[in-house]
Amino acid sequence: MSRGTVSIDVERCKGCDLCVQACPPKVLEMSTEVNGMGYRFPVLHDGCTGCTACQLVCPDYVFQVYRFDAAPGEEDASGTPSATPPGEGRPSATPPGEGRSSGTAPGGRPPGRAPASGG
Amino acid sequence: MTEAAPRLVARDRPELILGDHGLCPGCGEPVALRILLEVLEELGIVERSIGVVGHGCYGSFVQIMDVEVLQCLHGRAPSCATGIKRVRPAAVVFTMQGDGDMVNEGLQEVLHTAARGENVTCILLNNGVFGDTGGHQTATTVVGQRTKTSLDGRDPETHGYPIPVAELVASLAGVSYVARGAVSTAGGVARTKRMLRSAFEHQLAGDGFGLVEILTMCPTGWFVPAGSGPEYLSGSLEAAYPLGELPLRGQP
Repeated sequence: MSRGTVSIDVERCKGCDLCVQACPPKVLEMSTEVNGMGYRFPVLHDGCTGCTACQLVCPDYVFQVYRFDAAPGEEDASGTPSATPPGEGRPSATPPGEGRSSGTAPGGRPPGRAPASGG
Repeated sequence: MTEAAPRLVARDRPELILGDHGLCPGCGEPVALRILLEVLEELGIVERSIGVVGHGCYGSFVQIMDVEVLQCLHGRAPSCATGIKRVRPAAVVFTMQGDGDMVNEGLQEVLHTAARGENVTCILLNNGVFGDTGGHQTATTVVGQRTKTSLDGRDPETHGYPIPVAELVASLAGVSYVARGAVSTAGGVARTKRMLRSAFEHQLAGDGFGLVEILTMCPTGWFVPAGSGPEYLSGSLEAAYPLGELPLRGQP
């Protein structure tokens, strides 16, 4: 169960890898695909604690960190966050293999700056 | 329905940063900019803050930071800050300088400003290279560090020894706060932010000169991969420049 999650602005990322090293629960991994600038970017796996370490070290201001005040319910874990911040055209973090293309929201989720459910 | 509303705990960047910067992957200077602006925001002094910026990679920040900024000649930022502070004592005046700017090009400026006890805050972004002009050796390049002009590593026989400017400043009277942080780890970023906050609180209290040296990564200038910057920093600059608040030795 994830206690937190992050939104990742993949188009702003320059692929420096600092967040992956800084992440205490080791739930960030660099993608195999690249963004519009040609850089690999981090993707989030289950187990985020919302500790903000990635946001602290990121030189390109890629991360916004959220915490779940209570444990997410089943409907939230299935990929529909109950509170979606207003859309700004920012793609959210996705697990690898979801076939996400840059600039579009994955998995049938409405486009916008929605935090990934992260499990 | 279960409560699972995600609560925002950390924004990507303060609203004072207006756009993207063009610095290299893995650079530490944008992190320093972010914590600096966050401190100004948290202290509620944005409206009366005036930044004085030297020349270096961070010079491009003047285009994206929503704070009054004066960019001055190489190394002269502390003197310009002196003038601004004396004319407008209510302003919160800070400088942002690199090691090439502060220690090579304008070492006497910062030392005299400190010795005069000017009530300004100087921020040194120290990465040991002239990043903006191609990665040459600076006066703070540590012994053994490779740069474009010391490809076999800095050799004291040929290049002399680095200048620890924070220790020099801490030895002067008129100085109220000197600290050295690093932005290579999450904990280091948080500690460095507290140092910046303390420095500005000293200025607000009118205590005198403050200096915060921030060790930043320059993987391009260090010839290491972007992700190896923190590891290189902890083995080179951090070994030569111990982190923490420095004892003030020059109090009269």
